[in-house]
Amino acid sequence: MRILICEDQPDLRRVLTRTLETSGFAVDQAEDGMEAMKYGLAEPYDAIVLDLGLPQIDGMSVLHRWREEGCETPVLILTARSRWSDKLAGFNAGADDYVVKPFEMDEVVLRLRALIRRSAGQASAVLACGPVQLYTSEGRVVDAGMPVDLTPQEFRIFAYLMHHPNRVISRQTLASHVYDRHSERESNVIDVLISRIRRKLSVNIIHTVRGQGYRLGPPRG
Amino acid sequence: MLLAALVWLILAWGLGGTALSLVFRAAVVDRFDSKLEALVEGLAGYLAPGADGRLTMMRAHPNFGEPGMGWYWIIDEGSERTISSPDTLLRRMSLPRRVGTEEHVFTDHEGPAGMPLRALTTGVRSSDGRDAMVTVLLDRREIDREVTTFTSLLAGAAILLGVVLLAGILAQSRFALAPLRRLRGDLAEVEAGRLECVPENYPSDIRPVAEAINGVLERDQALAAWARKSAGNLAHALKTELALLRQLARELPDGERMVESTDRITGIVDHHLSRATTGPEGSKRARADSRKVIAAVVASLERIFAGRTLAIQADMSAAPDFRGEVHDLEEIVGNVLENACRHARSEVRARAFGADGRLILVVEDDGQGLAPTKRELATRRGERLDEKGPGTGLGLAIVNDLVELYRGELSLGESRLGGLLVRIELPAVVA
Repeated sequence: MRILICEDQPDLRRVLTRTLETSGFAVDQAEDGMEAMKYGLAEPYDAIVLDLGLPQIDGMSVLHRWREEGCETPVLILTARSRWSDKLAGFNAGADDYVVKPFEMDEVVLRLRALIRRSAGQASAVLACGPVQLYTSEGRVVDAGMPVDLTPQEFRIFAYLMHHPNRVISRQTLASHVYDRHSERESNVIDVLISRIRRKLSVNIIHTVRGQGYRLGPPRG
Repeated sequence: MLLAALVWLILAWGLGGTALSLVFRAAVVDRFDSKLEALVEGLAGYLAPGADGRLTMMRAHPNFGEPGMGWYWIIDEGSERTISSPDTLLRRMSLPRRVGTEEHVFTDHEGPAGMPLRALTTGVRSSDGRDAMVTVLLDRREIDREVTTFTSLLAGAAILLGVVLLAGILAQSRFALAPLRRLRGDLAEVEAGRLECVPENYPSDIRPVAEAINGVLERDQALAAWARKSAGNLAHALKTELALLRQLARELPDGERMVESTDRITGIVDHHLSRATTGPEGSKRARADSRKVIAAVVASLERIFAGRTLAIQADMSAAPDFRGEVHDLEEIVGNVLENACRHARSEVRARAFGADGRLILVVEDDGQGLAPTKRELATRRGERLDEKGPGTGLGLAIVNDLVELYRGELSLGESRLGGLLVRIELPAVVA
């Protein structure tokens, strides 16, 4: 799962990035409204954290522009503006959630996970496929009651597939949701990661669709 | 204005009437004196020695011999005085001495029976060449009668003129002041919130005043907006730094106290930001669509609490408009409903309706509720009765401050749903 953080305060941006990466997200950063606008329109993020007080172009204008351009990525506004008139303006502009500074980092992570889940059309906080379960709020995977130890990259790929079951997902799409802008993307790394995930699960629920990509579905036979 | 016109008229009447009366009296006296001169000249032609050798009038107007008529003549030859009447008062009367033939001296005297007399004395030479002074005296009351008659007529005319003038001033003032009365009405509409500014379709004399009033209103609003924005910017900058400080403190082994401290600072900033940026913006003209505000807040809360199974029901079909700033109503409704959502188990109900010119908002939840002893604490700044979850415990305190600012009422009670019931009364726009 890949997140864009739009925050002009460099130290706060770093703390946010570190926390989200630790929680299993790939994170890109934008330090002003121009960058935020560009990245938000160009990259397929799973969610965006947006500060309203950005330099160059304020966050509210950036959000308006994204929605005008058809960008439907869920947006969590993270701002110091705590008044309800600001919250309503944010939701009216197309925000999906609103967190006021100062905030609990755990809460931001929880809300981002919920946003991503809901935007994928998943109502339940626990996604299941066969004996395998993904607890979206906590970011952990359980297979037949036993915890599964996945690396951050493996977790991102598996979580993305669990959020979009029964759909063929291309390697390119998976890569764009696993890596941040600065990572080098080797051609076969997705295949390698998928193999590793399969080995860690008791059943094969990630099926290869030749020439197209992968599809998550119940184990065969 | 009418009083000033009345005072001015009375003053003008007094001065003008006195001046006219004086001028008229002078003219009447002048005419009276001319009559005296004509009589003296007529009598001088009949001045001749009598049987006793003293100068006398050989002929005179018959009025001179008529008792009580007040017509007298006196011939003064120095030691001798010949008089048309036997009255001794005239013999002792003090008259001018040594008056030349070309000279006319007018004097006033009191005659027989207290009759006021006016006299003309002049020097004459008789047909036999003797010099004497001839004095003619006439009843002066004729002058007073004419002046009194004139003054009465003048007063009557002045009163009539005054009444006509006052009626004219009254009619003109009503006509001239009509735009000012309209302006006063328009200002009352602005004050009541039914107009944003004063219309400028006034006559050319009043239009600049209306434009100036609108200028002041606009400047007032701009200043308030600028002050609010500045306070907001300062608070937001501080809160961003506090957010960082809080995260850094979380990573320290003994950072909990720092976290608590940053939370308290945030509470103070929020409180003062709320006070600086809420409340009526300088006038009572604002109004807000309460149905729209409640609907928008409910829609936002459904997103914020989308992760929970929470039913938010709102019935605001009978809610009147709020008499105040829309962002203040958003703050009140938002905080009360958010508070209810945070503490509810599964259900929040909101009702808004009008009663006695007030907007009533009732919000209930099915949460734990608050013990009566804790209800007052819940509306105090910085009091957090529930330490779980985000926030600084300011929600109901901000609501309480705002409700007080609008002279409304806030009360907390027990809901039939089992949780807290918040009832708020606010000023409404009466249709």
